[in-house]
Amino acid sequence: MFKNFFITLFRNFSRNKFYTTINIVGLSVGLICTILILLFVQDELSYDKYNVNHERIIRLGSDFTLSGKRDRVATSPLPFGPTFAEEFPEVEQFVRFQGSGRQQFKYDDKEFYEEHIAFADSSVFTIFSFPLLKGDPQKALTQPYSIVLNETLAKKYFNGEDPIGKILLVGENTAYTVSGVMKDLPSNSHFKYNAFYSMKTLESIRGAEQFNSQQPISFWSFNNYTFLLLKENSEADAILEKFPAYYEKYMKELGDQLGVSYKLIIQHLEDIHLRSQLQWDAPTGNIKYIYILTAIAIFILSIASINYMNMATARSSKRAKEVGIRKVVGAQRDNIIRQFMMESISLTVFALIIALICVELLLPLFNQLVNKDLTLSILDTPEVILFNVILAVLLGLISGSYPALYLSSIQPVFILKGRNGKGGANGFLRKLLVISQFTVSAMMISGTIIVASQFLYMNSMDVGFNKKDIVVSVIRDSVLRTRIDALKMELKKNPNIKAVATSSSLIGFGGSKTVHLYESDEGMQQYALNFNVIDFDYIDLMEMNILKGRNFNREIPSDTINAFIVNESAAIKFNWGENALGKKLQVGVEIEGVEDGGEVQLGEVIGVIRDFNYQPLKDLIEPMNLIVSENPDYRRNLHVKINSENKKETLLYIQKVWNEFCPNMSFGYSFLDDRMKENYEPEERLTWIFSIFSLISILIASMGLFGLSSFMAEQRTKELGIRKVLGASVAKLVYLLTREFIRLIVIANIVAVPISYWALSAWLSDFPYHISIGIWIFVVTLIVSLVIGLFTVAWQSYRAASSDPIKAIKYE
Amino acid sequence: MINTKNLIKVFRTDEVETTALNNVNLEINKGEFVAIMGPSGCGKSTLLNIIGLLDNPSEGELHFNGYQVENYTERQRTNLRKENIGFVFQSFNLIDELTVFENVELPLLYMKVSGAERKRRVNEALERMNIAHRAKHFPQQLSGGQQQRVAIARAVISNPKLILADEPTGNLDSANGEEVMNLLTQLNEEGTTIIMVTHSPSDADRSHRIIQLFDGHIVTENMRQKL
Repeated sequence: MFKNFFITLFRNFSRNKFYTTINIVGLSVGLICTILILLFVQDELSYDKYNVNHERIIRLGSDFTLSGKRDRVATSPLPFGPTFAEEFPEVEQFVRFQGSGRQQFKYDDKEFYEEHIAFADSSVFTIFSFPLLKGDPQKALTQPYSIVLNETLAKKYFNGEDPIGKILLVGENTAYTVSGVMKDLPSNSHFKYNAFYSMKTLESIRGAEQFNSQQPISFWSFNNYTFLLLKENSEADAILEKFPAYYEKYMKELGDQLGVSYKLIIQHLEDIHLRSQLQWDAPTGNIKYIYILTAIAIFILSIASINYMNMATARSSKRAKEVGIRKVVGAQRDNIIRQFMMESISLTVFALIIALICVELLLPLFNQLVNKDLTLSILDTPEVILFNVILAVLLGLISGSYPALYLSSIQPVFILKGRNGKGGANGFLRKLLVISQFTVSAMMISGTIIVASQFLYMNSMDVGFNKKDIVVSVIRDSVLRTRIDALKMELKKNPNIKAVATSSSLIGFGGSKTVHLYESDEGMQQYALNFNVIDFDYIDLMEMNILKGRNFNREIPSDTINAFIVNESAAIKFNWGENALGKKLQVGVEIEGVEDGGEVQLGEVIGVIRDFNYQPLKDLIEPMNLIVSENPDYRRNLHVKINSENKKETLLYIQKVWNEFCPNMSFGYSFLDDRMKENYEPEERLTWIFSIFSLISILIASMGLFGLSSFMAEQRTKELGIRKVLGASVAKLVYLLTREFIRLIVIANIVAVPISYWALSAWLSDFPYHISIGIWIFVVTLIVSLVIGLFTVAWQSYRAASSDPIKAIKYE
Repeated sequence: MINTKNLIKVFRTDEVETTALNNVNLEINKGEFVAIMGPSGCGKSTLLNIIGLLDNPSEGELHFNGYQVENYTERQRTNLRKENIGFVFQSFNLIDELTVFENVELPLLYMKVSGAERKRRVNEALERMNIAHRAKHFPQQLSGGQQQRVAIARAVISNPKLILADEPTGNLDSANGEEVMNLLTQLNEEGTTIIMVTHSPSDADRSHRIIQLFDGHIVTENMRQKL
């Protein structure tokens, strides 16, 4: 029986190469997209689960509100680790990470800048599964100035030598002893660390007493990532429940003084990558993108599946005779159903084999697109392969179900006398299927337009300053910071350098925040205000707009002591209205009983600056204060505005000058606009993914339409012949054949509008600065669908309409 | 073997109601060779389809081998049909995608006959129809007469008690038609009951009895004195 199925199947396929090809190509492409997306999603969902203890590891975050401004951050105070371990019996161990930024590493003649390095407690290797290739995991980070490198760094600096015990010079020649080499962290780790300094190093820098201080002020500085390993069968909720007592004991007094309310955030390790949404977090994935991609995969598969159904039923009149005969000679309905199901499953399994081969070939490209290192091999991913086989069989069952049910219901008596079951008998359903295909395509097209426009918008939006042609470099050398004025003078000698300035925070990436007091009708009020410490040239270099008052002025020495420039948002927030100039503002507050309460600087507002996006565009502009200072500590970022021509020469010049001033640290730089673009990498990636997959979905839908239209044209050959004999022109006939499809495409677009609108609004609402969804987007979508649809249908229709009517009439 | 009582068949479309069979009472005995004649549209094929359990009567009774079958489910009808009835059509109705051998084999597949047995029986039937040399060919590669012989081989492969032939010579030239009629006659002589719809008086001459239909009624029944 099976043999007979396959014989019929194979001969049917080979006799209808055109339709079979359309089906197999459509199903294969659909499966390729699905497998790729599946691999991506599987990888995203696997983040951090390589840690043996992942179910027991939690991260402590902070949710605090100061004068009405709420911040939710991924970090927590330094003493949380040890005090949590003391206070909560659920905690087995803790580990803290404190990032150190970009640093220069030097060994022998090798010196490079390295990123993603952190100070970590020695417990890191027992809590996390970061295996050490060399060194003792228990002891590697117990001594001050010890460092554990990953394999890549170890190779880079020590190339074959045993790195253990070797001295690595970091930054301004701080000597670290290499005490271990760990395996590179897997790509599905939310940590991107390449090396760990021992936390003891920080302790020794700051002094044990201050480092381990449980003074109230230590609990109010959130600069550590704290992870806890819970004991077996302990619940994180228990800690949350008991936290109020802890707060009372360690934090409440100062908190009340500062006017801050505080809530503890507990996150499970495996939730960090996709569901974190906290500030100051490592770059993470986004569960929304997982949903979007999964939806796209389902869309594309359903389009391919609908193609199969459509063509199978459209061609049913050709298969009807076979069904009739089989029934007459004794086939039951279920025999027929089984036969057609087997056909569609064989087709999808065949398509799967092609798809798996193509995926293997396409993976490098796809990896580049999604910035991952995915693999597809039966050994690595047996569950993916198995899942795909199940998927293909399911796809076959679904695709085959309608044709099978329809064809098996054909009564033999209708066909045996040549009275074929009409191909148009199930026309309504076929129309419905075509509409749903083009609805999905229209959604994908408008999705692509919106995502791409949003991305372009964020890149080209007026951010309140001019980000073009600004070279930025971090100044780590403390000596260089004291010699900035001389450096500036030297740089400005080059005519291609227009301006040089420094600031404490890099624009576009947020800033620092500290408690301020501002003047109001009710006296001085507290507010956690963003601030950036700049120099006299900064505002001009950035081409920012002072709306009221004046810029900082070198000629007025008191500007460095008591002058502030606030942004529009601050003036509005503080209810200063038109009278911001001259209002009092104080940076920092005195805290009773705390010596180290921070410096306090009282002054008044000398200018109001137009709002500019100092934070990524994913955040709204918050109130901010600009402070001018000559304190070298704040000269962390160097900005050099250069001529847009001769960039190469100018950069070489800057490098030369830099090397003269700072021979022990090489010049690392980037362009500000490039750096800011990195903020929108997920959006850029989504734009690409959307464009590619929507193109594919349109392609598959068009292939189906092409097949369907050729079939319809073929079916109506006789009708067309008669019309032609009676005097219809070719144009009239083409219109006759295409108008039905045009109607379907228009209906599909109308159906797609509300769904697209809803989905895209939801996506856009994540962005405080976003484009609006104009009617034009749907008009363009309609035009694109129509052009593609018409192009697809017209050729077949023209061929049918212009064929010889005599042949057509003789037909049958 | 077959017994109909007041058989009525009405075809309905949205606006038109056509009575194809009107009070047809008929009795056909085992071993008979019956020809049904009449002008186009008189209900011959409808009658044949109802007897062959391909179609249901609108009213009336149909008895097959003593069983009352007009209310049988599709599954029951299929089972009855595959064990007892073979069909021969004017347009041969072979499956284009299958070879001669595979076409003839088809009924046995649905009867779950073993592979070796199938092969034996198909070869035997093909030999008998004198078409064995064409076993591996596809229907389109054969002449009309050859195709009809394949169709007859398929009809007899399950050793049915009844063969229903709907204008079996309608698409054939006289020589080929003659040959097909010889085969049918031979089958009848071996004991198979045959009911044949035909327009050809000479074909009808081979039968024992001719039933004349007109507008859904039986007009005359002529017993022929051939035996």
